[in-house]
Amino acid sequence: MSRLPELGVGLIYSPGLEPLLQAHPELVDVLEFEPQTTWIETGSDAEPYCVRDDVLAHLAALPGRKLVHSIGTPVGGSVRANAAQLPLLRETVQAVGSPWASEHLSFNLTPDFFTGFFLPPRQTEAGIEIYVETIRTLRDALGVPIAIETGVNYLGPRADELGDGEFMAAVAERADCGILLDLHNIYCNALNGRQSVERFLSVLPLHRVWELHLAGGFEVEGYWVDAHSGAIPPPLHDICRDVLPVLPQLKAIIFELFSSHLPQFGLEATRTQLERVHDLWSLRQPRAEAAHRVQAPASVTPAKTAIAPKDWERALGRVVIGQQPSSELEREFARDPGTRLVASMIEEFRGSMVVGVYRLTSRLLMLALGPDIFRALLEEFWKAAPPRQFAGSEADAFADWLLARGLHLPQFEAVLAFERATVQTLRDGRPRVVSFSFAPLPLLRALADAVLPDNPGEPGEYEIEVRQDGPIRVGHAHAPAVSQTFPFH
Amino acid sequence: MEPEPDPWHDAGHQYTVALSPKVKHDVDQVFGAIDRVLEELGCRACCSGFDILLRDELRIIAVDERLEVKRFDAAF
Repeated sequence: MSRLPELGVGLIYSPGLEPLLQAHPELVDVLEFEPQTTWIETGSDAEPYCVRDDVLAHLAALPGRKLVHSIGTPVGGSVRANAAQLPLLRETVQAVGSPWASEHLSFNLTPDFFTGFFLPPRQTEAGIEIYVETIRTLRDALGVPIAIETGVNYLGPRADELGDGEFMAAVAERADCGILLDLHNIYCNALNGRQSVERFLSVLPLHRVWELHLAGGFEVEGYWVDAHSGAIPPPLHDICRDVLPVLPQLKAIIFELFSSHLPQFGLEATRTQLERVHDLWSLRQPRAEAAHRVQAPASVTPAKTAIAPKDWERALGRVVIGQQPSSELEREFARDPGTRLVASMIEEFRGSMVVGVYRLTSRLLMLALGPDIFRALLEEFWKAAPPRQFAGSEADAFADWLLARGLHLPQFEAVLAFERATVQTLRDGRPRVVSFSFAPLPLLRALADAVLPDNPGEPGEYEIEVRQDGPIRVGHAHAPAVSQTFPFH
Repeated sequence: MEPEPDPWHDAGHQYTVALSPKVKHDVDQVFGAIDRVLEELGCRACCSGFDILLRDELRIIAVDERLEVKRFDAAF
């Protein structure tokens, strides 16, 4: 794989970073993006996902080379992702000219539900056989080399599993693929009681590392979490400085910052991190031989175990989405404080999907019922329904659950109908008319400001037509007042 | 369609407001619309930590409640 191009330093894309990309294109040699974040579920079995052409064109035109980092087809589970993703993923890889694609050596599906989070794979011989085959299938489907990402694992280490580095080495060697070495994940794992960074790196086939991920995190309940929340911790910076000279095939270093943390961390601090990563990049020695070139043994199972990968996935998945433990393995998982941490992070993700998609409706609920009751409703919903992979579906499922529950709240259904129409029009481009029995703008504008209106809207028959294209056209109202109503305007 | 004075208080009539989630000649609005698609309808981005969006929203509401409590039933 020595013919892979050298890309340099870059970022994981999120829209909030665009001012930085425009102001400092010289700092961004490569932009990595996660295709499924731009996809929309269509509701069609024949073509369940689509991506808007203008979105893809917009991404392709941004500064730097592009790398595809898939988040929807992880390779560390026995249940494969919906194969309908693969053609669209391949199209994306080709459209942006990604020289390789990466995926996670984790799982997020069981036969019965989506877990809402990447979870650690079963690190055994039986698991390796499955994952290697899945990686080969993905490589064939995408038509480019695949690098697999070293994942974070909040569970305690087990006697019946391979060490993290040994496991990753065995998978990469047998699949003959690249490694996306997420050093912050390995750092988290070490701080949280798993294998040390030194041990992990000592058994890794370093010549397979094509890409590094660096990020920051923070501590929660005694765990260091991979939050992508800010600056690279100084100890991790030192680790990176030491390992870079022994990564002979390194082609890219990506700094990760999760979009929710960008407002607090800031673009200027992000720029500083990028400059530091450029300094690190200069330390690599592309012609050096790997300090450790490990050939994984043919068989690496540490101990006989009765826990098959599919049983591991079902049990762990059930526990972290809040199901009552119903087997000894599930009870074992439930006793691990790491699974409780993951469960709480899944809940936060689920809540974020709802408030992100139906922001005005959520604010109406929070203001009218109080934040505690809104949270209690979410928690009841989380117990009643498993997570959805796409935020639009998760938010719709919550809205349907609320409607079926017969929530009686003035204007709730009208605000929800308006937001649903907006989302549906973004999905299919078709205009929609939403009717109101009151003047809607005072309420919508107030909710955009996170308050209830001083005065209720006057009763009457009003309509808002939601359209995808064309300039704002306002009849009987002032355009600035209307545009201020919508937080995405 | 000519604007009418203070139309939103003219009860009993039907009005139509055409809005565009994507306005090509306004760069900020285009980015805003793309934000919706990229960050709010698709998969959540890969992150093995907390997404703080829910907490941020709860905090916005809680802060406002402390500053000025508004009774919902009084408003409607």
